[in-house]
Amino acid sequence: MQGKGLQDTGKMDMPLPKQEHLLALKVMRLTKPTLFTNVPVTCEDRDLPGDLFDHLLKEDPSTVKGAELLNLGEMLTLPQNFGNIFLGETFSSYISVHNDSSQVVKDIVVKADLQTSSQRLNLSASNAAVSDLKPDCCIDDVIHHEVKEIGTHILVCAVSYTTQTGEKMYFRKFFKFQVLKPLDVKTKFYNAESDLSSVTDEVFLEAQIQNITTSPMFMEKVSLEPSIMYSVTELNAVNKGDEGISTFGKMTYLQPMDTRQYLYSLKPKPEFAEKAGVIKGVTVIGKLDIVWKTNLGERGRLQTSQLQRMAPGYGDVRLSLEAIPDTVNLEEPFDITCKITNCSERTMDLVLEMCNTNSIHWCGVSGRQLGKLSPSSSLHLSLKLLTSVQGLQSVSGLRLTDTFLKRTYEYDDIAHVCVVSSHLKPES
Amino acid sequence: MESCQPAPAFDPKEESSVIPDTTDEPSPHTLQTEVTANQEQETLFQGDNIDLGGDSFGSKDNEDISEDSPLSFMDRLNDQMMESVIISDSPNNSEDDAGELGCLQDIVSKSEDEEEHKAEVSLPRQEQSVVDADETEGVQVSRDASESSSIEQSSQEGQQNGKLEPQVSLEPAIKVTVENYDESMCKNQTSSKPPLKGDPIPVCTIFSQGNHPKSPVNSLPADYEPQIVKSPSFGGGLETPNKADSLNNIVQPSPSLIKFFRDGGSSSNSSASDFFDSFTSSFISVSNPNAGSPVQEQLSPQSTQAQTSSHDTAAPLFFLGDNPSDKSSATASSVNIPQSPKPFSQIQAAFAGSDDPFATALNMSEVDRRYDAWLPSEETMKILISIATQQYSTVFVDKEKLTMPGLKFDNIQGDAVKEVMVRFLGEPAATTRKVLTADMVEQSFVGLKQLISSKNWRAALDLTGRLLTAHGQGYGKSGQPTSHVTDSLQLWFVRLALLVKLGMFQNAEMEFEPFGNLDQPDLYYEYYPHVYPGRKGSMIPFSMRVLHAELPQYLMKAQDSLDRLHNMKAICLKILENLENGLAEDGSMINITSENRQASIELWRSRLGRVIYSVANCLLMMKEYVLAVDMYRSIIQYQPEQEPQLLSGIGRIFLQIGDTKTAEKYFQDVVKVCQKTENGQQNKIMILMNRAFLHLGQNNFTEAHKLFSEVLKIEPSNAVANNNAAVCLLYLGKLKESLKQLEGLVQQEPKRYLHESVLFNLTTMYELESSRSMQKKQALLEAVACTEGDSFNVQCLKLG
Repeated sequence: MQGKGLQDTGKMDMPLPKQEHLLALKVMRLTKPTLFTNVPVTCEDRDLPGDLFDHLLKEDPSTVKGAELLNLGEMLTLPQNFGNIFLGETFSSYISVHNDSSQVVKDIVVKADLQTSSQRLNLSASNAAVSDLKPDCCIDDVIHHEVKEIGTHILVCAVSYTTQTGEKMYFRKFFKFQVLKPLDVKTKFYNAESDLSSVTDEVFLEAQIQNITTSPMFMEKVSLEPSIMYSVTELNAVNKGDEGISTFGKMTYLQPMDTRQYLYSLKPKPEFAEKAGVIKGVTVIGKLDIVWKTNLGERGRLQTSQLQRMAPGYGDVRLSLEAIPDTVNLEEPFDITCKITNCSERTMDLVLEMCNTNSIHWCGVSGRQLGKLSPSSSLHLSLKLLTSVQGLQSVSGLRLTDTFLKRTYEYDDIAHVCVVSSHLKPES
Repeated sequence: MESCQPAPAFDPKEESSVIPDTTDEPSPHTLQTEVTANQEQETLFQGDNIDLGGDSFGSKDNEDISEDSPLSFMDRLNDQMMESVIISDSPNNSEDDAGELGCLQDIVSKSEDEEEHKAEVSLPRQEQSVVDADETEGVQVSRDASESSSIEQSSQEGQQNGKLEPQVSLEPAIKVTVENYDESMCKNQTSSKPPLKGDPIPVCTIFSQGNHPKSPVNSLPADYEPQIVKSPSFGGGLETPNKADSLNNIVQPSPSLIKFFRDGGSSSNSSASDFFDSFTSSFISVSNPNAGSPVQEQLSPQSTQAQTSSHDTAAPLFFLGDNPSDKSSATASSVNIPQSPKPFSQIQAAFAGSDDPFATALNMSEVDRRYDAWLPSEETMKILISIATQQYSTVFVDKEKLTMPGLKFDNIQGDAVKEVMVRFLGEPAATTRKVLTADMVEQSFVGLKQLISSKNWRAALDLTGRLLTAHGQGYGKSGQPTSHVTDSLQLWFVRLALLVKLGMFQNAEMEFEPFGNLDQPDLYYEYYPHVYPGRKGSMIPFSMRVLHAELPQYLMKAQDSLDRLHNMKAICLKILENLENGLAEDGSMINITSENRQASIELWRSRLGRVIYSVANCLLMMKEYVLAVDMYRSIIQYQPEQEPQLLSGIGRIFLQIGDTKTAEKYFQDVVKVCQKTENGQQNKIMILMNRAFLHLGQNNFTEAHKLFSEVLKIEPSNAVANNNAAVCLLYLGKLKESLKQLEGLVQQEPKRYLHESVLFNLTTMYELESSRSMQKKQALLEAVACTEGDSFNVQCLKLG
């Protein structure tokens, strides 16, 4: 087709009744064709119909030759109805203007617009006028549009032409359809628990993706595009040899209403990790990019809006653990290394107190001065303690007091250690 | 296309951490070009009201619309949309189905009323016919009696007498009793009392003696045109006893069908009946009580005497009654059974017998055992064993355990194509339509096959109805005691298969219902030791079990289908295990030659394959793709020759769910498998076809079209490739070319390519092409009328 042509000049104020138009406009949505399925009915040679049923199956052009029992055939059938259209899918439509009359029609302009609740888009491949259309001929156009809005869409097709007598004619047709939401996405953040991760501020993102359409959906890609601060590791495959084996097993698709959980681990990039201790409030993590396919490769793609996370509140002073053994012996002292960061805007003068709990006994002097700590700076602290109870024990009982403001910060449940008896002989 | 990223109108819900509403997220800027003149209106009508003005035409419409109230505007919009949106009806419109059914039920209930009425009216006539029968039968039986000189003959007759008596009443239990024959006969004679009107007491009887032509049917079941209808069991004929003589009545062979067709078919009445009987593979055909049996009348006192005298062993009497005291009245009334379908008694000794009857007999019994083998449930087994072992004592069989089928609807199906022709082409055009109807063929299996092969399944369905009615299992007979023969169950199978083929699933379900789970004792040969002496196994054909198992999935009860299919699968596996362990199919210790064992194993492996196919198809229907794929894969071991097709099919399944990568993997496997096998051309087509589908999955219609066209170069008449190439052309915006291709296909060989999928595509394109699609659809209808049978699914023409 040619490039942009000029717009039609003639206007009809009122569209004529349909039957008086020489041209007919027809629109059909082109969803992917479907494969014809048949209902195989068979019998055995000894049965009454003999080989009749088998013969009928073999003659039927829609059966698979050589495997007539297979009910999924190879015959393509055109879409039977408009169907549903979902956000992120491509709306394709055939627009045909046919000359129903017996006369040649001139200067035909076909224009297809899509009106959404927020905008109007021109979808025609060309707005050029076709100079003439002979009887029983068509002007065909296939339009495509990736749907980006939910809700009512109206396809507006306008046709203008000139009759042999020079009369300018014009009519329009409207096709309304609803765009629905295909997926339900829920996200949840997990802050890696104490331990070493707190150093790097690792965050886990669980994304629950639910298929809320009525057809199975093959998830071609679900990835997390991290914001500049983070790097991401996908945790949805187990690496075995070269190949990653999906944690979803053989189920490559989501049935209607099925939900699947995707897990991602996010780490602040080193340049941001330095400031990790002071990341506060809402941070942008990234967005999910989802590509799916349905019947015969009908493709859809969506991105979520930026996922945001409220950084865990660390208060004015953050105490994190740098090193801690996972298993310790009963009643034997062990060391832990703490990192104390001043997250406030002012300088602090800190005093450390260590309170024993039922199981945790701190070694060393309680109430020692840690000195002044300026904003955003941190200090490392090695502490010794022992436990008197076996099992998984919670490290608790640290208190920091800012002598300037006379404010005390309590740190309980900082970490867990597993306490075993060293004297216990395995065989006794 | 970075600029084409979908809008973030899509906000994930957040559970844990706070996520502020992102409505202030900028929507894509890229496509907002058209915001000059319309902007004001758009802001004005932001929300529900949308400006629909064809702004480039700058028409006054715009203003009109914006001035209009939203409501009236929407009205206008809807008005126009009503006529312009193409909403194609599916060819299997469920609404239509419902309509059809509803209508059907009306007819059913109406005919129910009518039937009662008719039963009363037709009574006198029936009595008349009883008299006729009396005369003819009397002559015949006495002749037999006089002939009964040979020992064989008399023992044969004795046996027949044993079955002659089974008397059935509508009581909840069946009792197999031993009884003094004379006594019961006397009762018969003495207590001929007024009939139980409309409530016939069925009598099981034999029918081998009727070699004299009887009066034609003069009273027919309600709603049928007078027709000579042959009951499966009434066709008897003189040849049976003769043959029995020569065969020593140990095994009951069924003469080969081919033989039948060779000499049969020319004289309609005779051969059909012969066919029917021979098909049963038993010489003694058991007529059904409900069919109205003339046997009681046949027995003149003299002949009764003669027969009972030769009857030295007391054969068990199948008596269906709640207590013996009812017997007399039951037997009495049975004498006066309304003779609804009078026996079609054209009996001719046309049957020649096979060349080597004895060999055939042995062979047949081997084949019978192989094909009929089945493993009844424990409960059913117990009953069958007690029948086999306790012939001389009473066996109670609960009525609930008996199979009492009957037609659930009896309206004539008619010709669907003709109906539509009358509506759209007018009466005169419709009269040109010529198809076979049930009236135009022989009222027998031959006619039935003729109707099926000419795709007149509706007529065939009507005919099965007639034949079953003649057998006493007609409309309204469900729940009434009856007896089964191989043929009647084959008829049921055909009928139910036709219902499924016609998509009348609900009807099929209704008529299947009396058969329960196909495991009732009276559906096994062992239940009729005297009709089928020595024969064991299921009377229900295996194909009927498959049909029964598959049916629920079409009625949204796929789980039931799976249950039934898995049950069948377990039995097939067990039978195979038995065979491999040196036992017979049913686990009994019978010597089987290795040849026969191998044949059995082959048969049961293929049956197992058939069941797994159904499981896989059912799973696919349930959209359980992973399981379905596993099942299809497992079929390969039973049907290795189908491996390429199965792998291609699995590939298409993946394509269907959108997993193009896995589909591709399977298609590559097909290529590998094809390299190993010969069959060059077919494989080449398959590979091309698969590649085309893959391109379809990647939205590349151009390439797909190229590949389908390549298939056509190899095989120009390939319907699938033709149709698919045409579909691709449409997606490429070439409607006219696409139409040309499809029309070409249909004109090329209408007999083959007037397939509903092709026609559906064609009519859809006609609708898209012009507003005068109706004419072209009517032309298609005419083409269909010339070649297609009455069961053609005219809905695919979308005539409205």
